[in-house]
Amino acid sequence: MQEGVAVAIGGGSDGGSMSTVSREDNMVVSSEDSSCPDESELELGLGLSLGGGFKMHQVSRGGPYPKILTAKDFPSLLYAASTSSSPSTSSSSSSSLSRANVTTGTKRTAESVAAANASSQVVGWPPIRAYRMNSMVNQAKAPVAEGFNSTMENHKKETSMFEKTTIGNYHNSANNKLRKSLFVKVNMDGIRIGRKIDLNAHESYEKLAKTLEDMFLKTAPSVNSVGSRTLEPHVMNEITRPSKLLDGSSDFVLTYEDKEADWMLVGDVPWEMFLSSVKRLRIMRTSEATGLAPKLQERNQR
Amino acid sequence: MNYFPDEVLEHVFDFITSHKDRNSVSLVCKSWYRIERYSRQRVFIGNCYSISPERLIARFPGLKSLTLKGKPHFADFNLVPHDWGGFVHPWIKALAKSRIGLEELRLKRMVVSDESLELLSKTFVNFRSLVLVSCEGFTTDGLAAIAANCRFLKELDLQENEVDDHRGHWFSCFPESCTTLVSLNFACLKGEINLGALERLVARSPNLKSLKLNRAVPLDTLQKLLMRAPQLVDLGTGSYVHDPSSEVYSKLKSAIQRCKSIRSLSGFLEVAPRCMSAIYPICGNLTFLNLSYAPGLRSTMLTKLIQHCKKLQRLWILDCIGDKGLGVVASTCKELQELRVFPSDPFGAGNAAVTEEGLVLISAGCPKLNSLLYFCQQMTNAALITVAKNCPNFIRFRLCILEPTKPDHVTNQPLDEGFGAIVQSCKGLKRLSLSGLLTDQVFLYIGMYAEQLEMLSIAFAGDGDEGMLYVLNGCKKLRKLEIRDCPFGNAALLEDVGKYATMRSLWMSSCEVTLEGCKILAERMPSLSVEIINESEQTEFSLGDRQKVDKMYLYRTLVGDRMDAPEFVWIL
Repeated sequence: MQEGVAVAIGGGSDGGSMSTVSREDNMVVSSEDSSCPDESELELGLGLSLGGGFKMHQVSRGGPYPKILTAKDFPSLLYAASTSSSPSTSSSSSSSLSRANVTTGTKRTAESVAAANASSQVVGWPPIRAYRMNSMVNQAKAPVAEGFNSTMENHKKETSMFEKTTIGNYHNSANNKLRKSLFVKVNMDGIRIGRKIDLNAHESYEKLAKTLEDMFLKTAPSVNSVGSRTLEPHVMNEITRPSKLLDGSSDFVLTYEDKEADWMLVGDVPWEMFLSSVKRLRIMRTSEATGLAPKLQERNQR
Repeated sequence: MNYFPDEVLEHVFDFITSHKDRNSVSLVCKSWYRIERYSRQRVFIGNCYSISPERLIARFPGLKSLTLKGKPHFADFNLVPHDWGGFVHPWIKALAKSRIGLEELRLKRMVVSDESLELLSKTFVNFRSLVLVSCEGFTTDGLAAIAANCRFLKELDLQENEVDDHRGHWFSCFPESCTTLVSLNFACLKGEINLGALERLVARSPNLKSLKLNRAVPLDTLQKLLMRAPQLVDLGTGSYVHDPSSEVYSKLKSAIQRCKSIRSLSGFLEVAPRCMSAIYPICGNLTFLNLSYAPGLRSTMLTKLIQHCKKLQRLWILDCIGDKGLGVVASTCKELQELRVFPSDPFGAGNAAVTEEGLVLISAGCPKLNSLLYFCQQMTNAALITVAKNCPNFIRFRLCILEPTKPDHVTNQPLDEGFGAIVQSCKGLKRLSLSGLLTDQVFLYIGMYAEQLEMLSIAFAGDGDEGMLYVLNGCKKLRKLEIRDCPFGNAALLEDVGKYATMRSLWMSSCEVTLEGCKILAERMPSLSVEIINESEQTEFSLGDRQKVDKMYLYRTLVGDRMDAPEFVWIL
């Protein structure tokens, strides 16, 4: 008997014969989708008590995806044409008709659809699953070690999802994280209780040094809580004053312990590279730091 | 057969597993209907709105495994608004109230809430298998409930879902007593995982056959997991990045070599190309290889790898492999049945893209090919005709030329003849997706030759109503038809309204169909649910009858109009 051939028109639902009702049911409780291999594979899945053995046939669909996009690939990422079918980024409430932009698709695909609109101006084309599109977009923002494209550094992140990775370092490319806090311990020789500082809240060595000086070297510390997270306002005013910690003019130098447990002088490598290898900080007495960097001696003797 | 006692019939029916066959069995006579109904354990519902949970439960009290699909297929491409529907909660609630001992739940394109997952996990003591494909609406808290409460969990398979990840605590919710896992796939989760808990879980799961990790699982953990589970049949790596000169990497190499049962390999969500050589020893056993999410693997690396994979039956890959690379596939993978080539640069000019040449090479080298998904920059009729000749066994043929309405790039003609050759040659074709420049002629061919066709996807094609009519009149087995941006209007829609009752669903968006046409259809066919998805500001009253409908989705249903439609969905 053909599935779906017997059409129960005109609602014979109530006093209908068994065969009409079951035919209707059967149309709906239908054959598996041979058009979609997944279904028949799912169907042959775990054998229940029917004696069918366990069959492994899962269609594997992994995670994110390739291609390093550069600035030219997102010409108007922020200013995607807001047609009535472009998605709003955050709304999850059911839309009223008075709202111009109805959320289309999943809320997380805002950026990928924006990219699509920017480039191809056709919603939903090419027909690639939203999940895969999202993976492409996210993956592009976090390139792997090899094949790293330095133009990635150039477009600063307007969206919070942009990440930075260090150039050519296997370990770091596995650490792709969203920019969030990077708290590290800071100890100063002679002070028993250490502090914690959020390195990601600072953009450069100068800013870091300023915060540390304020934390440790001032007699009346202006930090309001242990592990203050932001640059104190007054620090900003003194930004122009050269850092004592960095230029070797104080009795202390700023050092850090890196991933290989070596103690290094802060300031030699690019800031981003420093961020990726720093484990903790130590404000060390210059006398102890002898041997770390000959130029330190030179500086002191100037 | 009527002389046999019920138990004998039931035993016989046990061997009938296909849904279609069981449906047929149920219609033979009353006693067969009764016996079949009580013995049926697996049910597949292709459209969750076509029947109600109550009715299902009433008919199949012995239900153990339920498969449900929610949103229409085009929802995958963001054509369906986020809160359109497809909620699983009413189903779980109804099942929970009944005496059904649910053991298996498979959902596709449905909205699943944490509440649903928790109810599921707490109600069905024998629950064993949860498979979620392209679903959304839940967080890792819901997964925590599943992990914690399903004492006999065998399968947790999450494929391409949008999950709100509250970080890795859910993993620790698998109790120490949970040792029954056979399949675990969390590749789509974006957050951190408690690696220690993962290792311990794998260590106490001797039956684990399928394991797919997410990107947060680093290579050194992978090595440890493989040491614990050399019996794996299906592996999806997470992050596959390390220094190839390190000790961890050499340990990984020996761990992989012990995994002699691996037949399916996927993942590589992050990959260091120089580490790929570690998997060469197991390539010879692979029947399925999915590198479609592996970024940055160049064609030379891919071909080097594939040359080891002589037994490959299914390959999912990115178009960076290039035409030449596909040539290597063609000469190596003689058992190939399914090929999917995804675009690495969907919107760009395409530097390492594939063309018709790659496809022709594949068709020449892989005679067993029956399933294709191919994204490419260009195509010709000549190539398609050659492919049709080489591979008459296609069951699924999906071709996507990235630029809409692009003609044959050599002759500048529409691709009617090429696709015509495909449908004529492939007598078993069940699923077809078209692209490129196409006139009504291709639909004439489809209507004439595609006798087994069940699903057809059309975009930017055709000249007028005739095109759609050829298909509706010709394809007797058509079940799902989805059309976007085609000049098909009311005349085509209304010519044979009875046809839609033989189909699961019809989707038409950005076509010429008007509100009036849809209203007439709804009136003539009360067994259909005709939905208008309206995303503009207009209300039902201000939208004139003559106005074109942006999105229409109709489907047959036994239970009338659904009650959970949002404001922007009008059910006529």
